[in-house]
Amino acid sequence: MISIQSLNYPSAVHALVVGLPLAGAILNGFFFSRNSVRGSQIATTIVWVTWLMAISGLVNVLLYPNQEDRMVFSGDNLSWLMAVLILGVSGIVHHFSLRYMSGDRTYHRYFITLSLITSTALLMVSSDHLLGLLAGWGLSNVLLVRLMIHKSGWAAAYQSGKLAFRTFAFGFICLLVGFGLLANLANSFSMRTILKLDWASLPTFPVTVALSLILVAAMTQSAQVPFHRWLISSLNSPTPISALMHAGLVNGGGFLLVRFAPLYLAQPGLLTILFTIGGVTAVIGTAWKLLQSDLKRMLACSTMGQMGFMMMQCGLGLFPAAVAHLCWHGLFKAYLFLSGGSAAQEKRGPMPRQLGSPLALLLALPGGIAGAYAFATLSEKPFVAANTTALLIGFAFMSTIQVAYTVLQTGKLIWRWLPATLLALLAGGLYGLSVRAIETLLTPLAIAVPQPLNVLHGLFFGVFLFAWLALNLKWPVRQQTTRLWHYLYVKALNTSQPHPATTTPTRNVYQY
Amino acid sequence: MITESLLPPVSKRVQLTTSDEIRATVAEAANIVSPVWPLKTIIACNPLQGLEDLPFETAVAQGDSLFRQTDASPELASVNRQLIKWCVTFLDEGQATWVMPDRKKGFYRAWKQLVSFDTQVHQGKKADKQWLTTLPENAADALAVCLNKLNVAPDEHEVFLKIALTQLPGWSGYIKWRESDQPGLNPITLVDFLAVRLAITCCLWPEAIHQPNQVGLPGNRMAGALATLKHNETTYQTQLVDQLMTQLRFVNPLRQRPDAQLVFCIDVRSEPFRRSIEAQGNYETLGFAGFFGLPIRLNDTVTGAAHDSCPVLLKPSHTIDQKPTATAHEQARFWRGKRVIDTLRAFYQQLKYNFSTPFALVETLGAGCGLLMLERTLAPTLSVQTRHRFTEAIRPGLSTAPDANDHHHHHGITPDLQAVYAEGALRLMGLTDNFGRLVVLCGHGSSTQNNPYSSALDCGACGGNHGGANAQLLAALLNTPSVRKVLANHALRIPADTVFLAAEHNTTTDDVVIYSTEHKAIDQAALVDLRCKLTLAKVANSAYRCRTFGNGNSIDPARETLRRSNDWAEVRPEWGLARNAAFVVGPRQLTEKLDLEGRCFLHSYNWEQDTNHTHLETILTAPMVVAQWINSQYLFSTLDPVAYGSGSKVTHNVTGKLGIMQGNASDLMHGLPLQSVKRSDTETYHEPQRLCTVVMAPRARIDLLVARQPVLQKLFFNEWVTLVALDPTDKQAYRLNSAGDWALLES
Repeated sequence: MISIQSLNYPSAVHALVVGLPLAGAILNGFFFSRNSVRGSQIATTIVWVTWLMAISGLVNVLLYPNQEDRMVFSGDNLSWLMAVLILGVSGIVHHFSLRYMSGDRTYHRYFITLSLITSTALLMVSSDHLLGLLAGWGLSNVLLVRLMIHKSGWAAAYQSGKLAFRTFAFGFICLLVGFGLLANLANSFSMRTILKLDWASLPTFPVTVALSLILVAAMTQSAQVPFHRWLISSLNSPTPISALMHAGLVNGGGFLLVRFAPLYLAQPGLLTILFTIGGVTAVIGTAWKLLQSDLKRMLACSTMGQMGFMMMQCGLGLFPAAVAHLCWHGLFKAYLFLSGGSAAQEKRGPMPRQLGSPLALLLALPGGIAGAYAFATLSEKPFVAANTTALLIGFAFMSTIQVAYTVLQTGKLIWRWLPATLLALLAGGLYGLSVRAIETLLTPLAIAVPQPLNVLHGLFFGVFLFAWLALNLKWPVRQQTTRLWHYLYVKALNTSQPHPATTTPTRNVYQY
Repeated sequence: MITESLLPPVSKRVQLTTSDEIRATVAEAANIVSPVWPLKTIIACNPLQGLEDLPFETAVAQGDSLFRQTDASPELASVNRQLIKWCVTFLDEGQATWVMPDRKKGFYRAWKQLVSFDTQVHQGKKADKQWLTTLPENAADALAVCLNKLNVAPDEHEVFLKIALTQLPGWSGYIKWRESDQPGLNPITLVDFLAVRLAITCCLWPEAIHQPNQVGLPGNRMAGALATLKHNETTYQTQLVDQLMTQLRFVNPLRQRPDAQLVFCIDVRSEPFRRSIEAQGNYETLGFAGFFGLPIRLNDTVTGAAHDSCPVLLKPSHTIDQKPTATAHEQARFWRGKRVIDTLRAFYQQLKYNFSTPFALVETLGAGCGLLMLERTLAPTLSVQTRHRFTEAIRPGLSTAPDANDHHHHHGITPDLQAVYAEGALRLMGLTDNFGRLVVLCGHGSSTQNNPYSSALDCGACGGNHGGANAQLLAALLNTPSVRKVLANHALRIPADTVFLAAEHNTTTDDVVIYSTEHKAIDQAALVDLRCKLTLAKVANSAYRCRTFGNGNSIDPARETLRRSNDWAEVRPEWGLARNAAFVVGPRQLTEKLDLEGRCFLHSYNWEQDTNHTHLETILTAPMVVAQWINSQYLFSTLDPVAYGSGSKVTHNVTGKLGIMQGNASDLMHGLPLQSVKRSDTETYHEPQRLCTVVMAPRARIDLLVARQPVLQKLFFNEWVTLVALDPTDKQAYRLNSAGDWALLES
C-alpha cells in the first residue's frame, strides 16, 4: 500500500531518477521527430539533471543512513552508487553522441534507445522487487542489442546483436528460474526481506541451485568464459555504445552478485567456483589483450580480463573491492573507447618485454613492499593476513613493484633507487585511497568477508605471479622461436577471433 | 603407378612457372590496386589509379565490376577472413604487445612457420596440414605451386591474381605502399601476400577457379550518378569560366607596392582565407605548392623523428635538420621536463600492457578518467587548453628551425643549390618584382582531436604533414645575403628592406602563427599590424565556415570554430578539401574579386614571365596531378563511400596504428570517411566533379606541353581532367576535348 507518508525523500528521488530519463525518451520520441537534434539535446540535459539528483540521493543516504525506504526501491548505498555511475556514464555518452552521431540516419531512434536503456538500467539497480530487477535486466539487454545493431542492413552488426541476444536470453532464463526459486523459498519478492532471512534454517540445496543459476546469469552478462564470445564480437557497435557497454551493462553481472552477496557468503563452495571462473577469464582475457592488433578488440579482451578480476574479487568474499573495481574500470574503459580515435597517435615507450634486468627487479622489491603496505594501510586492510585479502595485497605488490621497476629503468640504479621506492609508495597509497573511497560507501552493507585461503587461491595467484615475472624477465621474447610458443600464439590468436559471422570479410557487404 | 595416379592427368600437368615470371606477372596484376598510405601520412589518391589509361567512363564501369561486387561466396568470405587475420597481425605497427614471431623473415615465411598450427586454415585435415608444411620457402615459388594446384592456366595467371588482389583492395593497396616505401621494416610484398592468399585458398576454397569471372563485364550501376556528375560539371564550369572571363580585363602587370605579400598553399582552403586577409588592407596573396618547391626530408634533432616533407611524386634530395632555437638553459629545462613526461607515460604503459598489473592501474586511474571525460565532453576547448598548459608547465615547448647550412653527414643544402631553390620558387610563383616590405610564406596544417584522419587534413604537398618548416626554410634562404646576391645577378632584385617571414596557417581554426625572426630590417609596426589583420581575417572566415556547417547564425563563430577543432566528439572538425572542383592557374587579379567558395586550387602564374614554358609544365605535371589525386579521392569517396571510401566514422576501429577497419574485422578501409564528404548519411556535401583546370596562357603553348607530357595526355584525353584555356592573345575561353582540339566556349 502506497500512502503519502511512504513517499519519503529517498523514494521520491528514486522514482524521479528512474522516471526522468524515460520521460526524456518519451518527450524526444513523440515531440521531436522533426527536430531530433533539439529533442536529443533536451534528453541529454534531462540525464545530466537526473545525475545531479542521484548524487544528492547518494549524499542523503550517506548522511542519514537509517532512513528506511518504504517503497519498491531498494534505496541502499549500492543502489545509489550504481545510479550515480550509470547516469554519469550515460550523460557522457549522450553528450558525446550529440556530435559524434551527427548526421546519422538513425540519430533519433539512437537517442530514444539511449535514454530508455538508462532508465531500465536504473530500474535494475534500484528495484527492491525481484521482478523489477528482472525486468530492468531483461529490458536493458534487449535495448543494448538494439543499440549494438546500429545499422541492421550490415550483416555483421546484425549477427553481433544476435549472438549477444542469444547469450543474454540464456542468462535471462537462468535468472528468471533462479529468482523464482529464491522467491519461493523466501516466500517474498522483496530483496530486503530475502537478504534478511535466516538462510541457515532453510535447506541448502535449493538455495545453492538458485544461486548457481544467478551466477550463470552474471557470467553471461559479464562475459565470463565460456560466455565471453559476445563481448569480443561486439565491436560493430558505434563507439559510444561500446563505451556504454564496457562502463555499464557488462558490469551487470558484478552488480547482481554483489546484490546477493550475503547469500553467496554463506556458500563458500560457490565462492570458490566463482573465484575459479573469474581467474580463468582474467588469465585468458589478459593474455588475449596482449596480442590484439586492433584497438577495439584489444579493449574488449581487456574488459573481459578485468571482469574476470572483478569476479575473482567476489569469489574472495571481498564484494566491496569488486564494486570499486567495477566503477573505476568502467570509467577507465569508457574513456579509452571514446578517445579511441587517437590510438594511432599513441607513442609507445619500451615495453617490459624488451627490457628485463633481474637486478633491477630485485632492487624494485622494497618499492613493491612499501607500495603494498601503503595500499593496505590506506584501504584499511591488514598488510599481512592469512585470508583472501592477501591476494589483493599481492596484486598491489606486483603493481607497485612495476612502478619502482619502471623508474629504475630510466637511469643509473643507484640514483634511481630512492625515488623509485618513494614513487611506489605513493602509487600504492593512491591505489589504496581510490579503493577505499568506494569501499567506505558500502561498509553498511557488511559484505566484505575475507575467506580462508585454499589451494585454488594459491594456484591462480601463482599463475599471475609467474606470468608477470616472465613478462618482465623477457621470457616471451626468448621463447619466440620455439614451437611451443608458435603453437600457443596461434591458438590464442585463433580463439580470440570474433565469431566469423560478425566480421565483414568482403568490403561491400558493409552498410552505413 | 600409385604416385602417377596421384598427379593430375598429363594434359593438365603444366610446367611450373619460374619465380621471375611469377614476380613479373604479379607486378603487372598489381597495377590494378592503388597504393594506400598509413594514417600517419594520409595521401589522397585515385582509387581507380590503375585504370587511368582508360577513358573515365570505361574506367568507372570496370571499377564497378572489380571493386563494387556485393555478392560473395561463403568460401571467398572465409579466405578473406583468414587473410585479414594475418595481415592485421603481421602489419601491426605497435598495437600488440606480443607480436607475431619472426616478422623479420618476411610475411610469407613468418606465416608459413605458424600455419601448421592454424586450425582455421587447415581445419585439422591431415593432408592440407602436410601440404602446407611442404610449401617452398620462397614466396614466388609457393605462388607458382598454388596456381598450379588451383588449376589456373598460365595465360590466366594475371587475371586470376588481379582478381585475388581486388578481393581486399585496402590491404593489398597498403602492402603495395609498404613494398615501395618501407621495404626494410618487416618485409612484405604483394608476392608474399598472394602466396599466402592462394595457399589459404587451396585449403579453404579449392574450386576458386570456378568463381564467376566478371572482370571485363562492365557494370553500369554508376550510370545515374555519372549523369548527375556531368550535369553538375557543365553547370559549374560554365559559371566559373563566365566569372573568370569578366575578370580578364583586370589583369594588369602594373601594381602598387603592397604592405605585405602572403603566399599560401594552392589548397582550396586557402582561397576563402586569402579573400578575408586581402579585404583587411593593402595585401597581395599568392598561391604556390605548400612545400615551397623544396624536396626535403626533415629530421627533428630533438625527437629524432624524421619525415619526407614534399609531394609523394618526388623523392627528397636533401635531409634538413630541425634544430632547437632556444638557449642552452631552455633546452636543459625542456629535456628535464621531457624525462618527467616520458616516465609518467612509461608508468602507464608498463602497467597497462602487462600481466597482473592492469587491474590496479584501472582502479587507480578510474576517477581521473571520469573527470577527464566529463571535462572533454562538457568543455572541450577548456580541456584542450588545460592539458596544453599542464604540459607546458612540466615541459615548456621547444621551438625549432630548419637549418639549411648544416653540412655534416650530408645534411643541408649547398649554397649553389640554395640559390637555385630560392630563385625557382620565386619565379614559379611569379613573384619577381614589386616585393612588399614583408613577404609571408604560409605553410599549413590542421588541429583536430581524437581524429584518426588528422593527417588527411594536413598539407598534401608536404606528404600529409604540417608545412611550417618548409616555409621557414625557404624564408631563411631568401633572407640569406649570398642567395640574394646570386638572385640579383640573375636579374631578380629583392629590395634590401624586404623581409621574408614564415608562418603556418591552421586550416581548422584559421589561426596564422608567424614564426619569430631576428632579421634587422624588419618593419615591426607593419608586422604588428599584419598580425592584427590576420586575427580579423580569421574571425571573418569563421563566420563563413559556420555557414558551411549549417550554423550560420552562431553567436560567436570564432568560438564555434575553435570548439570544432578541440572537441573530441566532433566528426566534422573542418570540411577539408570537400567541394573542390577546379584548379586555376593564373595571376591573382583574375580571381581576387570573385567568391570561389573554397572550391578552387589557385596557383599563381604569369604567362608573360614564363618565356620557355617550363613553369607551366611544372605546374601541370606536379601540383595539378596532386590536385587530380585529391579530386578523384573526394569524387569516388562520395560516389561510393563503401567501396572507395571508408564508411561511417561511427564504427571505425583503428588497427595496427596504421589504418581503419569497420567493426570487428574488415578490409583496410581506404578513402575518406563519409563524414568528410557528407553532411549526413543521406545528404552529400562534396559535389562530385572531375577537376576542371583553367589556365591563363596561349593555347599554342599548352598544345606544346601536352604533346610532350604523356601524363597530361592521359588525364586530358581520357577525360579525368577538363582543361580550359583563357587565351590572353584573343581573350577567349577554349576547352580541350578528348581528340586534342580546342572548342571555343561561348559566353
